[in-house]
Amino acid sequence: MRVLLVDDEKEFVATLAERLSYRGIEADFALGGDDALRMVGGVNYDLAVLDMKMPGISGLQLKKRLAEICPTLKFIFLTGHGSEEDYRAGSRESVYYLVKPISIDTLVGKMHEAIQKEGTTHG
Amino acid sequence: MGENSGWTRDLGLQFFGKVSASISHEMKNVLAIINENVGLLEDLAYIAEKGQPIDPERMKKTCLNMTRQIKRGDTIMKNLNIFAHSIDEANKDIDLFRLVELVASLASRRAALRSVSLVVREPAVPVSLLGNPFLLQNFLWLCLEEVIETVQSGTELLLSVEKEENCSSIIIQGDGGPVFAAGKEMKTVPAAMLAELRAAVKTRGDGRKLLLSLH
Repeated sequence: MRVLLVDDEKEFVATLAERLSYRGIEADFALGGDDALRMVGGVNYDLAVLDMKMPGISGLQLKKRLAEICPTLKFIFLTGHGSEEDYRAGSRESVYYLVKPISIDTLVGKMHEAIQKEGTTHG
Repeated sequence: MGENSGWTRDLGLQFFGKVSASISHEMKNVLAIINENVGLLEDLAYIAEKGQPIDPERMKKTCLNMTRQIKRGDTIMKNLNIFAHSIDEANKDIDLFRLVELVASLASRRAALRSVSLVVREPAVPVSLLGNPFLLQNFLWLCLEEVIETVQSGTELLLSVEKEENCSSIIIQGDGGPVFAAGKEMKTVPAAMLAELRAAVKTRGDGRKLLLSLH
């Protein structure tokens, strides 16, 4: 599985990427939407894990643009925001809407589930 | 909250809600980073149990990351505590620089989402005034909200305070174009708030400088 993590908290994504690598998941990270859009053009990712609120492009906007570039890409939102509005919007647009902090086992489990699900992303 | 009139309560509650939401989000990020670093130490310990040595520098770096996040969380919570206690007294001596510093810190995440940074310059001589700290914070927050939405992404906003003969001022200026359209009204600040604070909002230099004057 090849995963793209997108979050403006560098220490968070860098550490998470390292921990995922110990679990056999190849994870790259981007610190914002612009970087993510550049990266997804050159690599075949299976899944993108996106923060909802980031400087520049929001997680929801980014999801739409990534899905246009890579229609088979699956999405998980992983965010510190727990508002009802964000939850509804995030759940509509992705397989899972998860809230930080999260256990790595739960996240990895959801990643595998997301990859196996068919037709769950909305472009 | 002064006379406890409807507008102060409604605006005050909105302000409190926005600040609380922003701070809880930031604390979630702090906790998430600590959580990942603790997890990384567990992973490294597991790897060591399997016979692979751990690089002590890797451990030190991970501990340093956690220490940094604990300090970040401590600052966030200290600011939240000062903010929460600002409703204790409706009329008190206010150190204007400290108040601006606090509001800038509370608004920093909101600004960062628009790629705007906030810098507060300490005055050579302290500027103090008698007033309602919560209401004044709310006023500055509302002004900053509008300015942050107005300026271009990437702008650095410099906030400073000044004492003149008959008033104190908070000055907001950017490092590029206008921070507020000259002659435009601050639409989110009600006239009643300006009257209660005896405040006025003025622009200088084609909107490159915004002056919040307090009489």
